Amino acid sequence: MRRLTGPSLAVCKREIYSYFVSPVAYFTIVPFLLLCGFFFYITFNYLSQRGGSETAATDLMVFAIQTMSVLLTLASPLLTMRSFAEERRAGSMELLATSPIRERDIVLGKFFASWFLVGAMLLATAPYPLFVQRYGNPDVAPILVGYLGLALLGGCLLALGLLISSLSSNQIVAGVSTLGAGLFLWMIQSLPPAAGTATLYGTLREIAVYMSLQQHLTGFSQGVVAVKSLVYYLSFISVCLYLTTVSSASFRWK
Amino acid sequence: MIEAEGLTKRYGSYLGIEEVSFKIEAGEAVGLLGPNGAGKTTTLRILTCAMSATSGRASVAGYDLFKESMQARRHIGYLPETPPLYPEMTVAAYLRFAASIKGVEPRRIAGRIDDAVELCGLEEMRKRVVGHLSKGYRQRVGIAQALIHEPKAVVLDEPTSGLDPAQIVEIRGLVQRLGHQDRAVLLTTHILAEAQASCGRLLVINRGRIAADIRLNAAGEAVSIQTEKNAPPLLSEGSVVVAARPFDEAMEARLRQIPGAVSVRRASKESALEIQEEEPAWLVEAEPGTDIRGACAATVVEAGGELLKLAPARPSLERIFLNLTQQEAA
Ligand SMILES: Nc1ncnc2c1ncn2[C@@H]1O[C@H](COP(=O)(O)OP(=O)(O)OP(=O)(O)O)[C@@H](O)[C@H]1O
Ligand SMILES: [Mg+2]
Repeated sequence: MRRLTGPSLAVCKREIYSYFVSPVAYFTIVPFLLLCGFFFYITFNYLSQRGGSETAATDLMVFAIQTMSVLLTLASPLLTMRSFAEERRAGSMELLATSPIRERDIVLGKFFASWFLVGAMLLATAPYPLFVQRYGNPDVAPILVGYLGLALLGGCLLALGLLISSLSSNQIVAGVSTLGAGLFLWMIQSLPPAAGTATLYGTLREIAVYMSLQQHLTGFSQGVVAVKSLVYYLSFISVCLYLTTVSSASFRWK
Repeated sequence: MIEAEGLTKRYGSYLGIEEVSFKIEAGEAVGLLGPNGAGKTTTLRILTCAMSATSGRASVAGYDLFKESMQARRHIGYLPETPPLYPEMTVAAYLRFAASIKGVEPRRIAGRIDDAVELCGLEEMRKRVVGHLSKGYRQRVGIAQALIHEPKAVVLDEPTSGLDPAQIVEIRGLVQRLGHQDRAVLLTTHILAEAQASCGRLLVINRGRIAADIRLNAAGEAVSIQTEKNAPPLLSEGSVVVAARPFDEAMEARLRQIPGAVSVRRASKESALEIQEEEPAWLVEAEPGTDIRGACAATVVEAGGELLKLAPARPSLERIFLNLTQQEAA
């Protein structure tokens, strides 16, 4: 990934502007925060009734980070579904396509804008762990690393959403497909384990589980930055963004 | 400033445009005129890098569109058929964005916005949200966007389509103000009157091919018409219509003798030019740059004939346009 340069920074700023002017940003951030808050509330309540064990607060945070990742899966399609599909339908893509800006810079600008929004959403959840901090005594490192994991996972979902949006001229189709793909990448970690040891199913399952975005988050939420997870997230983002560039450029050649 | 050479675009097996070639110099305003589906938008989209051609070459401001696309794009301003707007942005924010992705230096952006806003009559609209503007104003914002980086080539796709008559007049005026010494303007339309009002030259496109290259005078009348590239012109500059008595072979032969006269034809409704005179008349074509009117008059008089009419040949553009675009369809 590269630095944002002039034109891609302009694209990025414009996207952020549009997120906030069209109410997409609020429609995404507000429900996300409410659901996170609601979830923290019930879990916190449950744990405090069970009588504060030593690790209760830490467990709460691990669980919270997993839940937030699912909420991100639900929220991120809202941020990316319009990006290419709607611009193509409305004709504003012609402005970008005929300006002296590379395809790659358009894609990066859009990606960083949506990532910025996810960052803002995650930052806005900060009061919840601070609250837990006051009443329990969770480890701080896993929380910070967990948030890093969430940000990376969000990046993956957004890059995937951009790719899907670049393949379509219909934002609804793009949004629903992104949601489906995101949920799929969440659920494949729950494939039942193989019966024997070295079966074909076993191998496929291993691969499928490795592909799951949430599966890699587990390590982060426990405060461990595993190299293979980091590599997976970053390559996932890069590959999706690269394919988005190719797909977006291919419209010129039709 | 804008050069196209053998541009061909295939949509699958369908031929969108075929072997389109032309050259537009700085200072010219050219109308690309043709019926629906002729290939106007296809041509413009190729010239603005929105789409690639199947074959052929094109350049803008000396930069090859396919090899030096980034440099070329800096010099192109484009208004597509639907203005490429973001409805949620304000006019000022939109123009600022357009300027920055078109590569205008940051310190010059504010000044460029002021200029474009003033030229396009958008002063009152700066703070308005684009999506709330009327169609005519949206079109102006689209034109302002196409001018924001002071491009050497401005390309407008049907700038007045779908507007009411008052707005059509205003947009036409705006288009006329765009042209200047070192800029080429290319616009499409299927309305002849519009092309005549805004352009000094027309390229008639029909079924994906350039059917004619017509030069107009300030009054919007055709002064020269070239149909095929290497064929003799249908009408050349300085051609005159001569009506004289007697209208016979001998007189026709004398007119042929005039130095500078390329050809003498009987003007008739049947020919492609459809020059229709009350009296039987000849169409005398002149070599470019020569004025043969005096010689024509002298020839007729010297031969003892009566000169009834001597006038520059001004065929009806309407008829020519219909002829050129309907021939094949029939
Ligand atoms: N994306 C496309 N796929 C297939 N065919 C296309 C495509 N775009 C245009 N065409 C066809 O190419 C031909 C030329 O289209 P084009 O849009 O250039 O015409 P036009 O002169 O701009 O017409 P109009 O006056 O209606 O705007 C038409 O027959 C059209 O159907
Ligand atoms: Mg068109």
